[in-house]
Amino acid sequence: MKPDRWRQIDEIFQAAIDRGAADRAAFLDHACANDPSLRSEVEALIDSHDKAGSFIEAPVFEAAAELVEDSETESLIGRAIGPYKISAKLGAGGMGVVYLAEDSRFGRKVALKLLPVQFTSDENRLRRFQQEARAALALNHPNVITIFEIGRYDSTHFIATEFIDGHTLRDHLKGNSLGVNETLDISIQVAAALSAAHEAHIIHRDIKPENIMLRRDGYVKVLDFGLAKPSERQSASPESTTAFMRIDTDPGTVLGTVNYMSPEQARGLEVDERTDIFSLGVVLFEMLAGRTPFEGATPNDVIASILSREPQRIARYANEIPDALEWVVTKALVKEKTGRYQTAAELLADLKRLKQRLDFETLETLPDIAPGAVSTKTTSRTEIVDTDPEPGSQTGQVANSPTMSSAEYLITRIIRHKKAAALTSAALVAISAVAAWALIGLVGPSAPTTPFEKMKVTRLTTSGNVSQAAISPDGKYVAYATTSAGQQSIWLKHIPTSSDVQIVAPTKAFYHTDLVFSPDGNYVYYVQNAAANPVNALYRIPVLGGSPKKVRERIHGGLCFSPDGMQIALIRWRPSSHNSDESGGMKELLIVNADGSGERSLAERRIPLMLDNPAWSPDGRVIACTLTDTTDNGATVLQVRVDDGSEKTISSRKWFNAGHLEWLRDGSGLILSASESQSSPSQIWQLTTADGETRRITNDLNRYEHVRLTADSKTLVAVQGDQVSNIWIAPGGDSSRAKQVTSGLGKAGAGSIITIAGLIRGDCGGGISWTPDGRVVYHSMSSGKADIWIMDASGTNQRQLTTDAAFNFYPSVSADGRYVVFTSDRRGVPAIWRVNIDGTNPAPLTTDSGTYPRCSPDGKWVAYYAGGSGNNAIMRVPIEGGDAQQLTSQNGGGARPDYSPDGNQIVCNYVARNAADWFVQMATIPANGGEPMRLFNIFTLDLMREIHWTSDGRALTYIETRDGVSNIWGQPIEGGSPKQLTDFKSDLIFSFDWSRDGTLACARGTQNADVVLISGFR
Amino acid sequence: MASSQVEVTQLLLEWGNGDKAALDKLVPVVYQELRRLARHYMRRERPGHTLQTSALVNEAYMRLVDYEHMRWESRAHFFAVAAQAMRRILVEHARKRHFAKRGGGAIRVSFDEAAMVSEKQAAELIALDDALTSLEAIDPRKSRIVELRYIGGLNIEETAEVLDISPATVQREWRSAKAWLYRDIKQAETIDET
Repeated sequence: MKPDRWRQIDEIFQAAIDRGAADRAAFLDHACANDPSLRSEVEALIDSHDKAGSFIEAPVFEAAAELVEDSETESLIGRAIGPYKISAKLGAGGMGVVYLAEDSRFGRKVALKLLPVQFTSDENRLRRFQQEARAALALNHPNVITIFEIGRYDSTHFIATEFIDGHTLRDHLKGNSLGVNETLDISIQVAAALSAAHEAHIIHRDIKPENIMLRRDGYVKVLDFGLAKPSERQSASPESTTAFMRIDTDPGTVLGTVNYMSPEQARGLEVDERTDIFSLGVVLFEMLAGRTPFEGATPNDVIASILSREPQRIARYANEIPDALEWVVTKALVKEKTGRYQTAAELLADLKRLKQRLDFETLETLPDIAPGAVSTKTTSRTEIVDTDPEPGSQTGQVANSPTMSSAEYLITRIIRHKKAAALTSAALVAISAVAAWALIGLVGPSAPTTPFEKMKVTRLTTSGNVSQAAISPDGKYVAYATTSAGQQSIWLKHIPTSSDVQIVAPTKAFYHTDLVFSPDGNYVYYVQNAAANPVNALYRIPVLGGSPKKVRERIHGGLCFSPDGMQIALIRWRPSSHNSDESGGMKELLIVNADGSGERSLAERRIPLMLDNPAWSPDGRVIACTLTDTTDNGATVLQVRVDDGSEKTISSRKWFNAGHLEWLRDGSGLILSASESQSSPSQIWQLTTADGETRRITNDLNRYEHVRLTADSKTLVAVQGDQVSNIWIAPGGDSSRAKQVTSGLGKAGAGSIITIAGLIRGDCGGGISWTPDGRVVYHSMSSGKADIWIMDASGTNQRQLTTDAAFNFYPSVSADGRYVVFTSDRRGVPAIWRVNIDGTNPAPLTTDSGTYPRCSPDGKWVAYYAGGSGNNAIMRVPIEGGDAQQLTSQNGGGARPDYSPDGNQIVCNYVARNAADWFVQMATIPANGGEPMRLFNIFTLDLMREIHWTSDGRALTYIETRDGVSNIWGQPIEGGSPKQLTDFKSDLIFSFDWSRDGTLACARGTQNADVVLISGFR
Repeated sequence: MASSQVEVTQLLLEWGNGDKAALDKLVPVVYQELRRLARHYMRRERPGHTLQTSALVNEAYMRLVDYEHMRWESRAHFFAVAAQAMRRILVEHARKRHFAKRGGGAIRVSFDEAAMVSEKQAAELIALDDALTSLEAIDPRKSRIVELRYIGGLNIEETAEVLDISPATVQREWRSAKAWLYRDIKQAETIDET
């Protein structure tokens, strides 16, 4: 366009605008006579004038500031903000710019969010933000991004969070829809995150696909908890947002999140937890339909739709959406918040049930859950699938407490006395099903996860107290053992009718393991373990009623039948025959006749190698076993030929731990439960024998154990478990004043710990220690790994002190508060390490193995337990480093030391070497070493039982679990009977410590385990 | 008096006296000062503070110019220069940001609506800059009016004063400039899309 032409257009345009719309046409007829192109130019300009609205009316104000600042922060790459060395820019948002940085203290990658100055310049706003962020910091949940630190360096406020290797749900969606299964997997994890956050009174307020990260390993992480506050964001009206060049034809992008707003948010009203439920409902809808439920040409239209329009049925946009899922989404999207799901926990429960229900649909064996039975009714709070024989029993132990706290790895090195060894076998048997392995984990490469679209998982029990399960060859019955009020019983469930019959009465005297049906389906076989003495025996009981009959004595467990049902393979533990043998004896694979007669030894391994979990191949020619090296590399699967006993390793893969093995009917491979590392829950795997390939059948946060297959290999049962544990603070040890200070610390990973390695008693069960200034140092799995954390006694300011990939646990704070000592396997063997109280300067104190360190009150020593090479000594090492000294004498061994408050004595669990009868006592020995000064007889099989001196030095305290409830008990130092000190009415205690002023810190929680039925997994 | 003050004052006088070359020397000085000021503002933590380009330009003027010895016209000249410099700063950053987003390939950690707003702002600012350049070619004064008002944050009276025209003229020219720019940007978008 030429300037002259423009001047002409401009003049006519100005005159036309001045005239007003009515006269405009006539004026233009005249002014543009004979020049139609002039006229169209002017009309186009008039049209633009009418449409331009607020375009460029408001100056660039804040945009200018932001853009100018951006240039500055970009230059931060390569620079350091405090300990954080910035390496790349990851993204930017209203909350600031996010960088990839390395925390030089721990060498870990973090996402470092620098808050914009506009944001932090408002003190009120900054304070509110910090409050919220601190609350979010206290939120430890596997589905919530972990905040490491909220801090300030010079004038820069920053938040350091876990760096997530993955992509956002937004990127994942790319405008498409997801399948029902994937949608449920993702939404269940988001709902779990919300549920934990809401419990801690944290509202997210900005749930949308951009804030949901999908990690490569399948974990879903919700970002920016507590970082968004509605009062801080622009309100819903586009008019009130900074009107920088809003061009109306480009709707929905300026206010990218209006689509996920709840009606109350859109109205600018107060929001509560239910706003997150609505937003998750929108995300759910979008995952299924490929579009959000409320759309419009402009943000205003979207908001109008949110406020007034009912969402379309998802079925309009996607096929095969179950009615029940439609119903769940609709309920989350109710405009009135009182009509919605009231809690994220409810939504989570419905999503989980729905997933189970859908999984169950194809199971024809269940007449009441036939295909098509899924209806809106299924999302009601009534459990139809669950058939709990003891509905009143909500929590319980997975097994008897001694079994949970035994450490096979360590115990096997301790005992050489014949009788002692025999008694130890009780502890060994108790944990045979899951095996308690060494401290060293195997973090192998992750196997590719295969999606099993047709896999169905359904829960058969809800009592949460199942310890064992087996399925009949025809798939009609499930036998399972439950523990309630400390008594274990065995039940038989007829799956088609959901009826339960108790076949072995509750007893405290025994516990039962290794349940298995005979191949003809007529009997349930099980190993009866005596709780108080080491006589183990194989029993069988008729499925249709009768009394148990003893088949064979002196077996260790792990039994399976030959395909013809004529023989049984089992594992026998043979103690060492003489005292000089320090290995702990042999485990052998034995074949006996089904009636218990005869025996043939097929293979054996000297402990610390452990042969377990035999599975007879369908052709009858080989028996597969797990072989676990408790000192180094974890578990492999071995097969032994039945005819000549020759051996072959099936898979080169090593797991941290492997449980029950079952052959697939076609002999192509095995199903087993196994975990990849200490911190990952045991999952169900398939191992193909031809190529040794492995793949994961389950991939979630629960742990799966005790896998048993039906004869046709189409269905399996497993015990599915999880665990919750939190830290409680009780002033004066008064349980009525106890306060829970953490929330959501419990993790499935911890659940696997608790059963795999009895000495790691779950999340926080890995130890607690007070600092002199009243903070709490504790073990937690909330980083996804076993790490040491510190926090205030109120639960705030949680900070991770260790971050290496190693397993760190049992912290003890030095008397001067300068150091934390702990057990770490970062150099291969579990050894004593020391860090400064801020987590810096890690240094090893021992090169040999050692664990359970405790700092002396004079600040000079660290006492610990050395459990390697047949030794079981209490040792000490100078806290500043130096040579270790043995404190226990040649006459006895001990474990789990703790100093008296005056520093003169050490208490420990003590085993006399030369006693005619082997048992664990509590002993005090001089702090400089020597013979026991006092001995107390407190029955336990658990040499690793935690003991702490009370702060006044007058009692020795320990955890006593009775009928599924743990309390702290105290043995008066001057003698007399132990006294119960706390009066908790529920839950287990995993670990505890007393502060100098007598305040009790303890990790308490529950474990749940139920039977699940899985089909369609191949 | 700081040396930069002497320099800027002198340059403004020379420019006012018709020396067009003075403008070329003036813009970089003002540009540097604006950037410095902007950073300074961003770092300073004043409660309730909002950075405004007009304030920035005013402060730059106070710092750069010996205003007691200036003719009032020089102030207008300064604002015209400052708005131009500001535009250059903004567009440079907008282009940098736009490019980074498009070509950077960085992993996104969290990207909320405000990021989209500013990302969009960056794209829009670039589009506006292109349109303003086109407008300047056929109607420099209208382009200047938009610069002063939108980038410099001046109101109609101030703009009128700087350009030495009547406020009514500013108003009239503003509305046609706005319509022209709007149309130009829309057309460019349509072309981009096809």
